[in-house]
Amino acid sequence: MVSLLVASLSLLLAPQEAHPDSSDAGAETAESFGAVEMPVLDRSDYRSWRKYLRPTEEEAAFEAIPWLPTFADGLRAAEEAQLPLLLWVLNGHPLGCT
Amino acid sequence: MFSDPRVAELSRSFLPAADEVWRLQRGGDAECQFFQRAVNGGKLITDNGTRQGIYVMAPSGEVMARVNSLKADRVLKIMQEGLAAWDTLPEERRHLASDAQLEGEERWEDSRPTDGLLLSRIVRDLPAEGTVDGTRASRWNRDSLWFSKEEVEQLIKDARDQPADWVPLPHAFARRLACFTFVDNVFGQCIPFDLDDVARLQLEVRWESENEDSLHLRFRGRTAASEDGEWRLGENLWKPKNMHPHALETTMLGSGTFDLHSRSFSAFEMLALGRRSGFTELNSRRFRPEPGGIGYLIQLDRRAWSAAPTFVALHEADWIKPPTKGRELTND
Repeated sequence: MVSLLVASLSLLLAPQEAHPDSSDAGAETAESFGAVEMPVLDRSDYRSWRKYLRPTEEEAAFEAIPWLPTFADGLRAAEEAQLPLLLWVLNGHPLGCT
Repeated sequence: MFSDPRVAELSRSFLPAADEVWRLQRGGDAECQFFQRAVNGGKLITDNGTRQGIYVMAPSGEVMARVNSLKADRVLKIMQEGLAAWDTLPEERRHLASDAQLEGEERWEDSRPTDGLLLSRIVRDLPAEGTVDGTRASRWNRDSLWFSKEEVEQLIKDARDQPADWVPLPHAFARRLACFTFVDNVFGQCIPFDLDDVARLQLEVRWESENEDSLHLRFRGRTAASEDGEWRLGENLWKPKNMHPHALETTMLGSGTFDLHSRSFSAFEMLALGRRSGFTELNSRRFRPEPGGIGYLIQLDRRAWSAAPTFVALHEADWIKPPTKGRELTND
């Protein structure tokens, strides 16, 4: 198990190899993007971009609330606990893509 | 707003639950009807007005407070009001009836492939400066990306058949990534691309190494998609009323470790950067359609439960069982 973990970690941290066609990135739809250049993704800043994209602890704090994932589950559990239900409903599940 | 410490703390006084409202307010099963009668004065909902929001509700279904807001102060206020109403709610109006009908029909989540590959995808705008040390964009969104055990095994087989060569990702992986994952839903749900919109689809995998316990893969690729004005994904809830020009390009890198004993990934990550333009009708990007950078982070989803991928209904996979159709809108 330890060797598997080490192998996995080393792979994730290893240098990345960009697609060879990156030099002409965006050739098909370039006119749509105006002056916005195609971002460069390579080994030097991969980890920085990962950190940039990943939600911060503060941003993801709502996921630490023990949401039950359905209305019915919530009602039944609220009855059992004798607590009021706090129901959050959106177009798109609030714990997924909204 | 639920990340606000005050709101998170007060949520401890409740039983928290979250759900998708489109189904609840339109569906015909017992759970949906219970919801509709609870939030619509005892009647089924027959209009298209949104019932999104945050409700404080007794287990009986009595709504004690409601707000549809992203502002923490407003949410905090209705939570406090709801708690106060709960404290004075007579006993006979508190309880879920012993014969209450709450059975829901099948959900997309019932098809969650727990023996396959469960991924979480984060999308976020890139800094206007174009560099990683630029100003961090605050808006982000999550989605799921699912593959069945058979689809994973196909990926492994394809990579193993030509060790050390870059080979195209299997169709299921390529289509779900290019059409359903690399989309612009930073500001809310959008419409997907179809394969005819995808001008470039170069997503590849390479077998990197292997030992008795695991094998290691790398991923790379590029995609370019541009909405061409024609909807080819059938009659479904994603079909837009109006098509708006939008385009998106990505370049992707990634890696994965596949455990040969459990036949599952023990590590998996893809990171894609790109640029986007235009908007679709379903979200507020229309207020800021200027071209910009966009980024994606795809990692193993280790949560015990996750919402189905947004476009799961369009996956064309036999392991996904669609829910039965809900009722038509009728008067109560």
